[in-house]
Amino acid sequence: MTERSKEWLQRWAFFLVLIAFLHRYFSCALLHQIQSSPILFPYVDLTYWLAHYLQIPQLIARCFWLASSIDIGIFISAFLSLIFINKNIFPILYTLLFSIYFICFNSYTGHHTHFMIGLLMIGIPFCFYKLQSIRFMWEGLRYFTIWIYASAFMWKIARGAWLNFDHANAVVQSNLVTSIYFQPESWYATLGRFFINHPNLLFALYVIAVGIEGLMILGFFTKKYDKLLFILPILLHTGTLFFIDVFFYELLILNLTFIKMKSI
Amino acid sequence: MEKPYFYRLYQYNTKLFFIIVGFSGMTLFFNLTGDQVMPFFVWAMFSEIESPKKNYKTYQLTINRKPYDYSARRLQPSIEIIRESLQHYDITTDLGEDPTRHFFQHKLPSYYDNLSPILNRITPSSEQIITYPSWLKRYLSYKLQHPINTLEVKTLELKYVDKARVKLIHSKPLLYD
Repeated sequence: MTERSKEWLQRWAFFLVLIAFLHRYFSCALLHQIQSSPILFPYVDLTYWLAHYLQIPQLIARCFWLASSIDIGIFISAFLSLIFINKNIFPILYTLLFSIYFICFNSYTGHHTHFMIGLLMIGIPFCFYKLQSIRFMWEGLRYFTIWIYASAFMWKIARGAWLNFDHANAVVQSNLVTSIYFQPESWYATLGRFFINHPNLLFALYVIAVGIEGLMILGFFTKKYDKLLFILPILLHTGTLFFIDVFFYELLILNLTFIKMKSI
Repeated sequence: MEKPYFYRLYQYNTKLFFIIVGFSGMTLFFNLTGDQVMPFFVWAMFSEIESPKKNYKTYQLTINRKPYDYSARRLQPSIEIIRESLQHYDITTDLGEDPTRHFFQHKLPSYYDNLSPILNRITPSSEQIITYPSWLKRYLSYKLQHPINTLEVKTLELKYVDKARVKLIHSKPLLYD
């Protein structure tokens, strides 16, 4: 990684962060917009327990100005990370503030989601000052990205879900029931109904999806196929959008780690 | 050929090496136990074997006496907020207590008494939970940019019938504000 490629990666990373955060703003999903949520869901995650014990989500839920400050802080720190490439204080600030946002959002919605993890992790390599450290952290983030899909693959293998014919159909039925009920004639519901009616086809697509997750393991051993590894998660998440009404588009920011340094 | 990542990292900076090894080890550990502790994430979603159910549950929102279809706005995180918080509220009202508290009371009863003071501090009280309907009304009003006089949410029990059409079996009111 050269200074130039680091600059390029940092600019792209925080540009995408800003786009994602703007999308969250227009979708009313920032902390000041979810103000005073009565739901708090630490579940059995000890990090959430600590945050809730320190009353951080509770305080933010009660105090509009604090919630607004965190939202604005994330915007400003991401923007300054994009402009002032050599100051690692801004990525540090961004990562800290986004961690708070991440915990609060998941706690207020009553569900610990995974799709924002890309936005949470992407700033970490740039928190380091030395170029060589950033390089190692960026490479580590690449392995983390591969781990996401590799472990999802291994969970499905270990639990036998990949060989279960009914599984894919059950997941699709469960996730599309709302769309099919409320908008039965929409193209989305029509597509969903078609696949529910053709479980063999659905099972084949499910096995392909699990296979895509498994293919990501290649990345642990070689960087030769990084172009392919860049495309596979896009295919996978586009598939989940159509079949299970879930689109982890914010996670795709981690695909930046598959871009070859030499090509920048 | 490039030397392995951990080897190169160790050569470069021992401290950083141990941080990354520690993070990887903890991630592996929590994956083996199946419990997630941020930032040691577990990516096990959709891996538990499911079979098609007899009935499915969803929520119907009626705002100012008009139906509000949230199902077509799938790329908006706010839909996640509406859908998941409703589900959480539904579970809470069904259980009659906070789900985290309920989990410990029933899965780990021997620890419950000791954990109770902490659980009281980290989970919402029943007084807080009953404010959910008015919070949801306020949130939706902000999101839709118009005043909401009445908000009604029903729990729908749905069933797949011929050719994957969905039929309503039963509905019951979940909240009204």
